[in-house]
Amino acid sequence: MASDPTKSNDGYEVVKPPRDLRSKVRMMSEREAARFDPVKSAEAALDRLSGDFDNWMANEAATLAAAWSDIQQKGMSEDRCATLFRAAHDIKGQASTLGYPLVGAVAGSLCHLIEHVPADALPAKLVAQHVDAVRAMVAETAQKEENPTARALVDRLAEVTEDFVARTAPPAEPEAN
Amino acid sequence: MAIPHLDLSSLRVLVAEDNPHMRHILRMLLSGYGIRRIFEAEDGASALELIGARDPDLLLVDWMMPILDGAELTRIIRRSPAPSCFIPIVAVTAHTQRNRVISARDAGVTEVMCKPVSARGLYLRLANCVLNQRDFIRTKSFFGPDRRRFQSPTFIGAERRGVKRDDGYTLDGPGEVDQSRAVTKMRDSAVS
Repeated sequence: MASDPTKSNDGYEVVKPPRDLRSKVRMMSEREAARFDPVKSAEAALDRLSGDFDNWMANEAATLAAAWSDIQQKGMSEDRCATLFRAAHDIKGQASTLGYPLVGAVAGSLCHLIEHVPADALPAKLVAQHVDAVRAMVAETAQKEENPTARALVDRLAEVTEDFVARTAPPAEPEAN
Repeated sequence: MAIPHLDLSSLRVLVAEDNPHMRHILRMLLSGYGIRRIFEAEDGASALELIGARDPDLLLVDWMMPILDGAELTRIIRRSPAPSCFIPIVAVTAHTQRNRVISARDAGVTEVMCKPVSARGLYLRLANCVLNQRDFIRTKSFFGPDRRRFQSPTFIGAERRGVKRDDGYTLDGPGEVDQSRAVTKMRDSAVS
């Protein structure tokens, strides 16, 4: 490694990073801080971008649908399952930021299913219901958490998925410390 | 807790994220904080090249990328003989389970940002990387930032991490900066 250890102890070494990042930043003065709030500025930047979010979400939903369509046409494989998972995982991670928290919940439920059920045992109908739900919710911009129909759909999908996983998945390994 | 207002304009930050939308969001957030030099990599291999070419101060890594994922990228960086082995790494992940977060920590990341990404959450992690820079620990099987965020003067034994307890890692929370400590350290050493 690049730096000499500053002290040694039994079984481990403590090494001080050579670059002190505090030398590259500066605490703003009160006057500067009154004029510029980094978090508010970033939120404003995100807000300016938000006009694109519906299109981005539609693209992500289309990617998920394409991955599922590929599996339906060509059959399940490890690679295709990984592609489907990645598409669902991307939606799970982004949907809330893009203003579609319920879509994120559906994608999260699909990720849970794929992660815990072997690819060859994935229930096609339940996967399709997740994909269709994502597409429908994005197409109808059902992004609000208070939308009762979308909320009921999300809850039902999560419930059925959890039940399927509980019946099918191999027992989980104990959590590592 | 008040957030320290930092001038981050001199920082160089590399974003390794395969999804173009998330990459765009991260870039907008970083530029919103005032960071001017932001480099982007679409995968882990490109990130490694940019680390060599651009010498970033901080790295944001999507945990799930094709070819070279966040964990592999982190391990390669930490095992490197180059000074970049010390770069603070913020793992950005949609995985929120505790075992995933601990696995990222054990790969050598500095901070974990669970998605959804928020302006405040990401800023706090960056601020923590800068203001509360931790020493690195080298053992036979690990090289990375000290995984014990807090000293535990009452702990007796050799393996504190072997004991089930709250070790200060937040799973989904912002990992708030202890401002009093941060500001004190800042005043002690920051260059204006």
